[in-house]
Amino acid sequence: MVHRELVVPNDTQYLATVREEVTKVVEQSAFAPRDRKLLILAVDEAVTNIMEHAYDNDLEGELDVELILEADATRFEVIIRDSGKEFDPSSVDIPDIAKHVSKGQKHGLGIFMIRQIMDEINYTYIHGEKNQLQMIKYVDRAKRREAGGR
Amino acid sequence: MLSVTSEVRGAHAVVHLVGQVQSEENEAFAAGLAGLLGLSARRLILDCSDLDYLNSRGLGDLLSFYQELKARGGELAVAGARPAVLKVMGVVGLDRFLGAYPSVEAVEQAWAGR
Repeated sequence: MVHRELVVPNDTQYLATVREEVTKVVEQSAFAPRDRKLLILAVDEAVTNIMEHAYDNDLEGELDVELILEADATRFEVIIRDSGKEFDPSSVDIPDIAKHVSKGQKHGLGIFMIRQIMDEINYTYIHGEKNQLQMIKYVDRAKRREAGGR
Repeated sequence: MLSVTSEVRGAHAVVHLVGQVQSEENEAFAAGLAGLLGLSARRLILDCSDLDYLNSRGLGDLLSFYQELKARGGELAVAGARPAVLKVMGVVGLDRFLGAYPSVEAVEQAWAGR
């Protein structure tokens, strides 16, 4: 099993560092190359969302985002903690993405992508303290989807 | 790193996207797409064979570009997209709106005689 922990300031210039760390973990996982790219993207989108929306502008770079990354032969898991505004990405309602897109609305695509990529998204808010987002993807489900052409 | 270059081939143009569309490249990508609206050709083939990464903001910019091009009577096709990029486009059905082809040549064949 591979396990890495990372703490970065809430500034989008550190997204490259986040992607590099996720890459190191998924490269040691059992996922196919396509799914490794998608896992990097899912974490990238989740952290981008936190850095861009969870904090007031004057706090950019002043607070931290923590990541715990794990992968083994069966799964990839990430836990992301931040002390920004309460936000549960699994609660965002995107009823009809085709209609959403046809109206030229671009917001929400990142959350939608995360939901399409990950198998489990669990959100916890510790009142007045931290948001915790846990996301998991399973190797066997990814292989079944691949075999089914999806 | 990202480069957006185009070559006009008669009635259509081939746009080569090379590199990655990550947060660092989002502004350059949007500017590169906007620049394509100035081409003489209105039928564009996006050669994505060397595009390694496309984030949600890039996808949103691509959607806006497609809608703008379509409003001007243009047409857009995606060629050679790698599996992960194709999956990202598929999240919003962009691959179905545009048509995803295995190569630039495949689009040119499909468009031949039109």
